[in-house]
Amino acid sequence: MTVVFGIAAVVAFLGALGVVLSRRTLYSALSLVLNMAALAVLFLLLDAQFLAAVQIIVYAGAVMVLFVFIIALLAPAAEERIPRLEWRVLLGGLAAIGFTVVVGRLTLNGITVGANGHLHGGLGPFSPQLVNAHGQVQTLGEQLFTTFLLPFELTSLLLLVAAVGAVYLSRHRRAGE
Amino acid sequence: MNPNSTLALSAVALGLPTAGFLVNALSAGRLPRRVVSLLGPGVVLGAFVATVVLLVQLLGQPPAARGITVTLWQWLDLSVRSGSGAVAKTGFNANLTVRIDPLSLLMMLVITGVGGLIHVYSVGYMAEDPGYNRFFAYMNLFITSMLVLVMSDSLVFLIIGWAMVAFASYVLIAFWYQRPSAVAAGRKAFITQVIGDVGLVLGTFLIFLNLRGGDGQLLHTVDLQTIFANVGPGPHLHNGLGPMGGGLVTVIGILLFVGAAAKSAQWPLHTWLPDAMEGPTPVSALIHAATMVTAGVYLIARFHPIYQQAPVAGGVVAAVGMGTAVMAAVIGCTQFDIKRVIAYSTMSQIGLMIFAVGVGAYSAGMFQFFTHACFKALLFLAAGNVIHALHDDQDIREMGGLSARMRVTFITFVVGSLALAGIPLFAGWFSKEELLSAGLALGPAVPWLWVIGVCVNVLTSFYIFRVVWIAFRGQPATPRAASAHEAPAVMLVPVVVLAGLASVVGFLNIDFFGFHPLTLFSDFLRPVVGVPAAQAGDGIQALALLAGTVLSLGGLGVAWAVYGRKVISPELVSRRLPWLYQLSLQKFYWDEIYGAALARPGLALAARVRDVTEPRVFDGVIDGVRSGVSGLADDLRSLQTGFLREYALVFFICAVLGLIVLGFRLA
Amino acid sequence: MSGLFPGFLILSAALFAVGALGVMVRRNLLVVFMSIELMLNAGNLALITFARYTDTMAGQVFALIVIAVAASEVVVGLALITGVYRSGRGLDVDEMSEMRE
Repeated sequence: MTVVFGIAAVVAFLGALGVVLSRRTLYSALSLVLNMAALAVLFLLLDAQFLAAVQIIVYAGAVMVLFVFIIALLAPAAEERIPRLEWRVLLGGLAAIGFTVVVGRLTLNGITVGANGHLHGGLGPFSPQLVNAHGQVQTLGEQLFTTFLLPFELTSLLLLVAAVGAVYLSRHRRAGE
Repeated sequence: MNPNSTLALSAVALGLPTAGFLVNALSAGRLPRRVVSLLGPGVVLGAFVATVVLLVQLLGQPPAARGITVTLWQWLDLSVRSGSGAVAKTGFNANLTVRIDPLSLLMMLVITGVGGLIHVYSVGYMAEDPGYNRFFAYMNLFITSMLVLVMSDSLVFLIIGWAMVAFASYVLIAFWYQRPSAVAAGRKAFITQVIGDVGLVLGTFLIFLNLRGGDGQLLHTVDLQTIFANVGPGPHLHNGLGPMGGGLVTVIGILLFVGAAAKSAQWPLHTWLPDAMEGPTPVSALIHAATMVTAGVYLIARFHPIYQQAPVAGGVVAAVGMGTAVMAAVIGCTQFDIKRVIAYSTMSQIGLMIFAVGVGAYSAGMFQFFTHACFKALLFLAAGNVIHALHDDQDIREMGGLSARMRVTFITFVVGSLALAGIPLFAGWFSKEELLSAGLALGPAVPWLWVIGVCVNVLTSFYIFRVVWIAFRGQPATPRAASAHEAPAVMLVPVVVLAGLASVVGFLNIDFFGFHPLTLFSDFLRPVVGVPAAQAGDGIQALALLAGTVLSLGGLGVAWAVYGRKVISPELVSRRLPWLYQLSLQKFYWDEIYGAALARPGLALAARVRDVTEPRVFDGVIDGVRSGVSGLADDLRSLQTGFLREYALVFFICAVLGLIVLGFRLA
Repeated sequence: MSGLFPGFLILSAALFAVGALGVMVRRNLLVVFMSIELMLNAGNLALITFARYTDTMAGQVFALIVIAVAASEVVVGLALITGVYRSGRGLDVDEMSEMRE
């Protein structure tokens, strides 16, 4: 387990660096796909099988494909030099490192894991064992349509709006419009 | 006396003129003249009726019970009250409490009665003036202010009334504001009043902070009755305001007198009175004869418990009063403006009143006030008739021969003059002789005061009959004088009424030089002011009476000789004693002295502030703030670069900092 | 597995930091956008980690919704970017400083 985690973590991190540091935009996109794949593996480690699948299918499979299309469309403008090492970059890097350190400290000191591997003792209502009895999809679906009904409905509305918006924004403009 | 009816009547007496003022003022001059002609005098006469009813009620009580305090309005009260409403521990309060006792009723009667007659007179006098409505609004305001002053049992409202009176006098003196001289006169009057206010207020502060009650505790009270009850000596060492005649009481007495002197135009705060003749004649009659200038006399009479504890202060008061009386009488002999003669006469007579209350003859002083209100208002209004007939000419050298053309005015003016001069059987004689006998009573070894008083009387009869002869007798000096005609009825009736009063009123109190068959007036006031000091021996008194009367008649005779028969030329004095003549004519140079010593340096300082301090300091500060803010805004603007990445950087850094803070708080 | 809990969270933080760095440092609009996606993913990871370690489904549901929202956001964002490109402005973030005072 730990080994798998370690490999996946390293790959994810390298992918992230690749996004930020690649000279060519396409390479950035591909690095991002790699990062997402590694994250899917990590999701599997965390007993979120359905979400791992969704991650691959939707995120890596649809969203990133869209990204690649657009990059191909806007190709000539999508090249750029490696960012110069100016004061903003240094300051940003410092902030990023600081952020990580702070979160790390908070995590290590503030939150402890219980004896049986869970944050609070005992099996909760949705422990992986229980979930596995019914199946993740079913449990997730139940939650989605009962406790989290409102966010679900709003999200579907959002998807509709996004679709309409995208169509509108990318329509061909006639000359003089 | 039923407190409820007293409350109601006091409210009516005070409220009617207030209502008249408010209605008139808030209508912004749009009321028709007929309405104002009824409203203006009407409210004052209504207040007079209420006052008379109060008087009748008061007289229905036995003398010891003639005094009641009612609260018209409880505004702010810091005293501690017990369950029944009685005061357990005195404290500061700003309630409109009203004291109805003989002294305040006397003042109220004069204010509303004589004031009412003057209002009626003004209907005629101001008939052609475009500011008719404004005039009556201001006059009602003045009546209100005076009533607040004399009715108030709270030092707070007394001071409020005091200040309102000063303001009302300012707007009335400067009524014809298009005239720079009128505005200057109004300003002069107001500024002098404010100097007096400082004295009054400081005196009040000292009383408030130092008066102790019977148990030695600080009282912190502004109620006059409480103050007077506790001012005297008592069992406790630190009772009242300190040991009798002690320094603090004297200081307070002098401070209060500063206020009184400003209101009553006594030296050194006297210079505003002659200039105040710039106002319309009814204003002079009301303010400078009957009411405002007597507020000082009222103040000292009302505060007599304090002056009884401070003989030194009383002595200062008496000295200043007598000095002013002499000075004013001398000046009055050479003036050519009829109103100024009467103004200086007022100053002189008030000086005599102040002298009386200073030596403790409160009843005599108030009696003189009463008679003086009658005949001085009479003189002013009659003079107003003359001025009106001559189309606003006030110089007596341009008059003459008016006795034939304006009979009634002439007769009434003569009546007033006889009263003023103290000719026997007219009102002034009774009050003045009572006054002089008080002066003599200080001790036959000190007849000086009586002597000076008699000199004042002589000069008084001289200067007023000088005016009578020059203005009314002889031949008309100008065509205007020749074509003068008598005043209309609305202006004659008040004058005649006042003349009647001036003849009769003296008989209310015959009490001088040991001869007192009829003492209605002083009996009336006794509950408030007590019994006057002892009298001198009988023989001297009769002699003094005779001498005083004869000398007053002598003054009249001299005037007749000089100006009537022209036996002696008036220029004789001016040639033989030019310095005396100049001193008198130039009002003893006080205006010039004040101008050089106070006015010019003050104006120079003001100019300096305007030219240097204001541009550099005040404007500099404001400009500095402006440029500072402007500069800061410019510097801040450079933050808005429009640079997306920079904004993102700032977001992130702040988020990290926020997390750090959060982390520290959770840890 | 319990010992990996901090590891997951630190990884999530690190990925988030890298994404933020990308937003701050890169000039290409598309790369900036991708960095934003990276940050969203990091958030998802944290959510699911907590879901796992507190035995609730809320984290997973939330992560699912985040994915849906991210998808719609990408769609609209790319449409906008295309529009920007087509208006002849290029894709350099530094050139787009109309918010300058």
